[in-house]
Amino acid sequence: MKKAAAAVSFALFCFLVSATELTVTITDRDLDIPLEGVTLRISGLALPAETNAEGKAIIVLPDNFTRGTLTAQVPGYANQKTTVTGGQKEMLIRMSITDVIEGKELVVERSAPGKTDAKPGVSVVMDKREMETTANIGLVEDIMSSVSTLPGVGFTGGWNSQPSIRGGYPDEMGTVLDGIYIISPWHWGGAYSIFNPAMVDSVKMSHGIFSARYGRAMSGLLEVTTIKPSSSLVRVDAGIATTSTDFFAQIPFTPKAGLFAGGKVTYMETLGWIANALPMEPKLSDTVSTMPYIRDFYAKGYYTPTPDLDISVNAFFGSDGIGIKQNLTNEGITTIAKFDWLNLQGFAGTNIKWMPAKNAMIHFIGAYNNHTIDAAFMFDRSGSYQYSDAFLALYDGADGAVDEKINGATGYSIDSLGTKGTMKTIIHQGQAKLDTDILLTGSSIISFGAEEVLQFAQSEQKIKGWQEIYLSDTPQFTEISLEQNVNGNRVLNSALFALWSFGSDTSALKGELGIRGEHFFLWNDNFTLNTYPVANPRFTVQWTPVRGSPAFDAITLSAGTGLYSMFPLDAIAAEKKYGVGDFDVGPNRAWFQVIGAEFSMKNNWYFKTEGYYKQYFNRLYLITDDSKNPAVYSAKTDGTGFASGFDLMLEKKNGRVLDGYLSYSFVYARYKNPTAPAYEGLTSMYGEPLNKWFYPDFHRFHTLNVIVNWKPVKGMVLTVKTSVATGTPKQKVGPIQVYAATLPDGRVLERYSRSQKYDDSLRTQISCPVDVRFGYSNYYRGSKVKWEYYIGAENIFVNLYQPKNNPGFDEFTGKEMADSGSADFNIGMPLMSVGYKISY
Amino acid sequence: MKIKTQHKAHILILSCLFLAGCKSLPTNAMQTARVELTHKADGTESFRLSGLFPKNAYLSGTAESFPDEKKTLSIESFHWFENWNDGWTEASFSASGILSLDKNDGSGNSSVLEKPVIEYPASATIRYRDTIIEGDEGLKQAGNRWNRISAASVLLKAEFASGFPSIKEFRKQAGKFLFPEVYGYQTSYAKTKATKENRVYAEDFTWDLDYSNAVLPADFREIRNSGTLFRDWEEGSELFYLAYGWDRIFSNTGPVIITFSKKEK
Repeated sequence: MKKAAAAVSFALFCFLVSATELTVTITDRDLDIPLEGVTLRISGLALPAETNAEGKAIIVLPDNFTRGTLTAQVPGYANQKTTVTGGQKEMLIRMSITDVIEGKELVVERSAPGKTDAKPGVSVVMDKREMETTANIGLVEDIMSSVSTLPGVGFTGGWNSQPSIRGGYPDEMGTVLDGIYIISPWHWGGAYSIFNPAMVDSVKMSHGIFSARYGRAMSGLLEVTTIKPSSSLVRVDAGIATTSTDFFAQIPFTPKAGLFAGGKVTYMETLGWIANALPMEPKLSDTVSTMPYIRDFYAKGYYTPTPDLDISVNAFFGSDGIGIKQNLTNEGITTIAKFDWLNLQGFAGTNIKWMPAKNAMIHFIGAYNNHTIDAAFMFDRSGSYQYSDAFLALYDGADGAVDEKINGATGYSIDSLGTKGTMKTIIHQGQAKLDTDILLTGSSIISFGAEEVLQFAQSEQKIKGWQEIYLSDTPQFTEISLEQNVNGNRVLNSALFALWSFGSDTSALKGELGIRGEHFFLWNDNFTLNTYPVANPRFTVQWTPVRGSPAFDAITLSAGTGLYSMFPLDAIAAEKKYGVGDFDVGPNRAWFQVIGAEFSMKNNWYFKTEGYYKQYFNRLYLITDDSKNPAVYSAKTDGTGFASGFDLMLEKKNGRVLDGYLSYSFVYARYKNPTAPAYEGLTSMYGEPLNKWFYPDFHRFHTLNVIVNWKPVKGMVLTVKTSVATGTPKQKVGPIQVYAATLPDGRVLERYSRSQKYDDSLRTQISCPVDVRFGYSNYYRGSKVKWEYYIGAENIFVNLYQPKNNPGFDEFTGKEMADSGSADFNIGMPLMSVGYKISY
Repeated sequence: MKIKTQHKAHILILSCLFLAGCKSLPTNAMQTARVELTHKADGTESFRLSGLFPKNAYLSGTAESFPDEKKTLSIESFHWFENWNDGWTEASFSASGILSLDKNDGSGNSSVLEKPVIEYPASATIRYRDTIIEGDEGLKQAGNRWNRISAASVLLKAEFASGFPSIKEFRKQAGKFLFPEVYGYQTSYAKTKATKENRVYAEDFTWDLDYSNAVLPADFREIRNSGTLFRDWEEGSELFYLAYGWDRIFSNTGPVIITFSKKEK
């Protein structure tokens, strides 16, 4: 008390020494009017002041006054305090009306519902939060693990991330990353995608009538948006797991510019070391020359000099590879198998958005994309075989003597009999797109745009070896030597589009009407393949008759129809030998209709269902008639087909204890390649039957996914991802039968074969993998660093159940190969992953 | 005695004990404060006072020395950091108040010349899951939250006038008072039978409207019934505790013993 009194005395002393004037103006914060009668006090100064009708008051400060607190008080307003410094001559204070409690505004805030970019009848969206668990299970963390559980997305099984979207062929799905078309966003031939969850902000799967802004897709458009730093703070996300490490950083340089960069590196050598330490033969190092690897790097720079101009530049480089070597000798037979795979891809692009006026935006995208595959394989056998009794019973005597010998031999020897091949393909792709949005009125926008995509391909393929050809019930074992060199094929895809979009997120009616014109032109030095331009009109509408009712936040009904066209990627390898010329072929086309309903319920529950029908026409298929010598190649574009079905999704978002979703898809998809086969058993180049309706090999009638996230305590999440999918078409196979294969030098081989043909009624068994992930996360106390420990296991019941397909067999012995009849890829045990992530 | 350096000197005053009587602290016990003084190049001196609050929270302002060895601390801002399972909040509040330090051979007394008050958030950054909210939006959200918490603290002060021995006990008792549906009803309250009319579901909890009506002021009920206040509680219970106990921290009337040491930087 004594000290306080001393301080007050000291202040009074200071006041008496000399004085300056401080003019204080008080206004109402909301109405901006002066407040009269406000009492002003400064700590340490004895005399209060009061504001006049203009809201002003003058307070005399001693010259030696350095600092104090000014308190403004007036009935009905919250007291306001602020700091006054010595020499200060003016001050403005804005006061707020007192409300019921403590003079504060109490705002009721509801939890955020998450991304709303999804459009009924057009697309579903998964944001980072929704992918957090499902995309982070397994050997390679991949957003496709999440996407594959969405409605309308076909089950693919393990080691395959290229799904069928609503009954379409997997390669009919287009992929864009930040607006840039990606040639082939896959690693290990499609086992995983290049989209690391750590670099992805959101994923939009447009499995309905997607906008005329986009082409180069007929069944689904996957739009991946990478993270764009929106904060002035540096952020780091890093993870280290048993087989990979990733690191991404968001670095703002200035409030207007920054960088997002990082990468992922796998190191499955750890698995190799573990496997080699186990008492197993052969050692993994004896069979895997290059452990599978993925090395990806991504960077995105952005610059927003003004709110009207946004420039970003992004680049990606990814590589993957694997090398397998097998050199096995069993009972005098040596089998050598080799496979080397190198996949390189990269792109660099720029995205510029400019608003020259308040109601107009211009958007430019330019990018270069490269995709290179370099692969080689070899499979051959050496050694001596004895003819079996069964073989001799059939063929002894064919040489004129029944002597338990054939051509005087009781067996045969082979030396490096097999097949080997190499493939090197390089595709360069350049693209440019310019479009503009013009806001007409309220929420009515018209857009125009043009797009050019140029692909340039170089491909060399060589295969030398032996193959079986079924021209009758008994196969012919013939030597083949195939060589394909496509050097300099170019495909130019030009497109123009215009669209009108109407309505906003709060409108009862919204939709989009658009048309996209496409033209494809392929040429090389020695031939051209021009096509007629095609027009693809598209229309979608969403009607929301109910909004904000007691039971539903919104009910939206949707419908859409549209035409799509696509030049298959295979077409870039077109050659003269296919016998097609200008205007003989055109792009694949499909007409797609969708209707649906979405119910947005209270407490973050959603239900949506959609039904669709898609008619295909002008579908390209290739035939190789290898009964002729040389083989006759042909390209046909009279393929037809349809896909129909419905899918639904029930979702609970952002649950405190439980959340997740259930998705179900029913697909009925049939295709037909109308060309009559030159001989029975002849199929298209991809093994599809000719001149009959068939289910494609990826087709499944039913796919059910159930994803449950259980959060027993804060920070702890147990995720169970269960998929149940009916089987894919299974070939009807005959018995394994022995036959005599005569080599050009007269040696007779005892070989085994099995006929197989398409059958409408046969299917592989039901697939039902269950993946589990347990994660525990929190922030370090008092810090901005978040940590997470997790453990995951894919296909945890694989040792109990594996769906069956036709088992494989050894063509030299006829014996079935052990563990070769699983319909889904697996390694015979659950794939485990353990990791630690930090985020700052 | 001041230690001068070319540009800046820090003086650490460790273990600044505010002995404020048995009613002055939330814990009803002595607390250790730490005052860090910084000499600036322009000759002025700033301070940072921590230790009375949770980790990473501190008061700051301008320090001024007087010929009689006394020092005043004019509070200008209060800095707050708190994290929870899904994010963190970092905010700087405008604050006022004056403390007086009476240095005395490595230890000293302090007294409150003008009671420190947290005014309003001046800047705030919030991380919520993967989103950083800053600038005006961060300020708005932090401001709303602070308003709700300071309003709730008025209720808590009225309900729990005698204070708590620890934040753990505060969480337990105040949690039951504000959110009995989550932490259990107090035995003194007769819970009504749940009907469609007297319960509402929000934020994955069913809130008891009868309890809100019986216990809370009218304008405060919707804040609780919507689950908003519970989110505030989950994400900022330390701030609740601070708002609740703030008056106790600085309600001392007697002399305060200060111990300090000096360190040159």
